[in-house]
Amino acid sequence: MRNFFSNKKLIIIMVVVIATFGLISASVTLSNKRDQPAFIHQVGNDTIGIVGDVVAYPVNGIKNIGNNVTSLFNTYQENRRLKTRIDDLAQTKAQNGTLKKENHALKKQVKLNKTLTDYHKLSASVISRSPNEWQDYLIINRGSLSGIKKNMPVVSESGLIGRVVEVNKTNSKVSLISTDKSLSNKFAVEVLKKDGNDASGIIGSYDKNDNMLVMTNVTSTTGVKKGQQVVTSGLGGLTPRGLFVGTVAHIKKDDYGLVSSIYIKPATDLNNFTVVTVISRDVEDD
Amino acid sequence: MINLKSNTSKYIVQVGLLLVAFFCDGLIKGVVPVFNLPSFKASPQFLLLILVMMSLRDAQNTRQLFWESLILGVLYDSYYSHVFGLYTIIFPLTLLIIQRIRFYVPETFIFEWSTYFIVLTLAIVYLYLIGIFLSLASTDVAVFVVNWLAPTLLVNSLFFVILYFPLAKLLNWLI
Repeated sequence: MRNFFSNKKLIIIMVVVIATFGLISASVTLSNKRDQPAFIHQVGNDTIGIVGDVVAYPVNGIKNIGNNVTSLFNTYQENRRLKTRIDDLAQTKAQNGTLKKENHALKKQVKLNKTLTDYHKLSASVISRSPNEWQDYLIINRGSLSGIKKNMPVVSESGLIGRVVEVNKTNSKVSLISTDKSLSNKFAVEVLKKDGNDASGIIGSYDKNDNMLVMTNVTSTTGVKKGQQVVTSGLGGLTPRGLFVGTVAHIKKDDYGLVSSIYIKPATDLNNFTVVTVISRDVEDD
Repeated sequence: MINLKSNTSKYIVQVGLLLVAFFCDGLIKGVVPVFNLPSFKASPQFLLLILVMMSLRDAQNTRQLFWESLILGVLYDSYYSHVFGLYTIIFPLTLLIIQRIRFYVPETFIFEWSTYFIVLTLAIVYLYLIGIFLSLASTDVAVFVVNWLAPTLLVNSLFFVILYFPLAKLLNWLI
């Protein structure tokens, strides 16, 4: 025993190991509890974020040029495909406008100010992405000064991509829905069925092999069919109702046949972003 | 005109190089979609590469590089994750290990690459183990090796091949 305590190096190693695990546990616990990181942490992140934004600007510019060149090659085929859909789109847009007005008027009549479907958008540029595999974070150039709050949902071009997990003054971190086992990706969603009785559930995991979101522990899948749309249900947290998540790919029973899992093909490519939109729900958190 | 031979200028270039590598890690990861495929998750580690090459050339075992690596580790964890104790440990520990073994490692491409390869493997395995400890990483070791460790080693070895000669020249002048 005396030999052990006289071995200085061993004691130093032990102290470092204990301190490391203490540091990791403390930082995880504190970051989960707090809405915003500690002041000194924020100052550091904001300073690095501003420099990072400056560095990312030309790189994102080059990437956009690359994307534009790729788009240019697909223009002819895309144009033909879009032309067939444009008449339908104009009609849907007009109908959507009328319905919105009608909805607004009806809400006024019943003195309903804001509901779960009301939200506004905040655009942000992606300045970086975490190199750590199990922390698939995007760092965006908008923070609490722009009105961003922890747990706000984030969408890309066509669908939901994740949720804000840390807010600094001028930048924030977004955890992607594809992050394995992340506690932050439990989005409440519903499958829009034809009969109107939507099947509700929670996105519980992400299937990395098939690149699909999994709606777990669904008790009834009657009427759920491949290709049906999945949207957020607006229950819990800061997520509004009606954000497009993806489409139903297939249904799988669990090993005991009691509950089912609905596999959802994400609406957007989770590997490639330069600009994202943070969604701020108008109705207050419950 | 700045006198590039002065120690201050060398110090500025050194810090600048470390900062560029710091931002490149996240930028390259975000800009190159291939590095984010579910079955091919490659993590660029330019900062670790430069720290390994710097410490292999730091004959006097200066404390300055150790403190720089510790500060960069704290900033790296703060900016890219929010869990302190990942790179805060990896960067300074890498330096301490290399300071011990540097006399046995000749300054040649193959030996420096081997050192970087071993350090990188240990760093990624450490990150994975912490991920399991926090119940955030997949517990399937085969998935980790195939989808993250192997792509990361492959991509970073490729970056090492591309950057070794210009970096070696610059660092030989700097340190």
